[in-house]
Amino acid sequence: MYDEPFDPLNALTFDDLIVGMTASFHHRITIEEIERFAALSGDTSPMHMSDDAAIEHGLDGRIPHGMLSGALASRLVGMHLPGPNGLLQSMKLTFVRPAPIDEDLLVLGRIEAKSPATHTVVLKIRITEAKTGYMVIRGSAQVGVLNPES
Amino acid sequence: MSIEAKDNRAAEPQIWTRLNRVFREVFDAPGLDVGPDTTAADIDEWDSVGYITLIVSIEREFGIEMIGPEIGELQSAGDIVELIASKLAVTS
Repeated sequence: MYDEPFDPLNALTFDDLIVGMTASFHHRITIEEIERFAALSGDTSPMHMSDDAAIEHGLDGRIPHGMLSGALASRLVGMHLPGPNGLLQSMKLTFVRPAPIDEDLLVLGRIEAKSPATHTVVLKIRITEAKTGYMVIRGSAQVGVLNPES
Repeated sequence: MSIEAKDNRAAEPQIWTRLNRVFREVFDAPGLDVGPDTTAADIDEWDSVGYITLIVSIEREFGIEMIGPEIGELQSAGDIVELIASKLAVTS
């Protein structure tokens, strides 16, 4: 497991990667992040911005954007597995439930397949509520692994 | 390997069945039916990234590993089946 912050001197190369290798980190989505993501994306849907509007839609309160949670999958690829040698080619995400606000999420990736012919790995991605284990996002990513210039 | 790959559907029916399943999944096209002469020109999503996805999915489906020069020669679905059959023959 690679729970430590990224160390650029230890960037994983294609040869370092093996099927079954995992990486994970924790993250807590905050109201400030929701506000920043809304400004960045232009998605100011009321259910993300207002507790009252969200409750009118049958929710318990405002919820983070799905792609804000999904951005954690980007961080997984770019910073952990495989890290900075990885180039995201495709990603498939299913948003099982809204992420909780101000509660720990566990972001976990596992290498499911490795293709030397294409220098590509396939990751299984799971984002869960750390406290309960409830699934927030499940998905997969196809990641090309570039050779760093020596 | 060439675009005019021989029709090996009768000789390799199981491979064709499984390969069609992979194509449908990769290109999200439930009605897709590929044959020996099917090429990238016939499938819009068969671009560079789609091709990589296809190769990775084929490797996973058939439990084989391809190498770079091999996939560089593949031009049609018929070529792909020939390569799969040769790989399976070596491992069986």
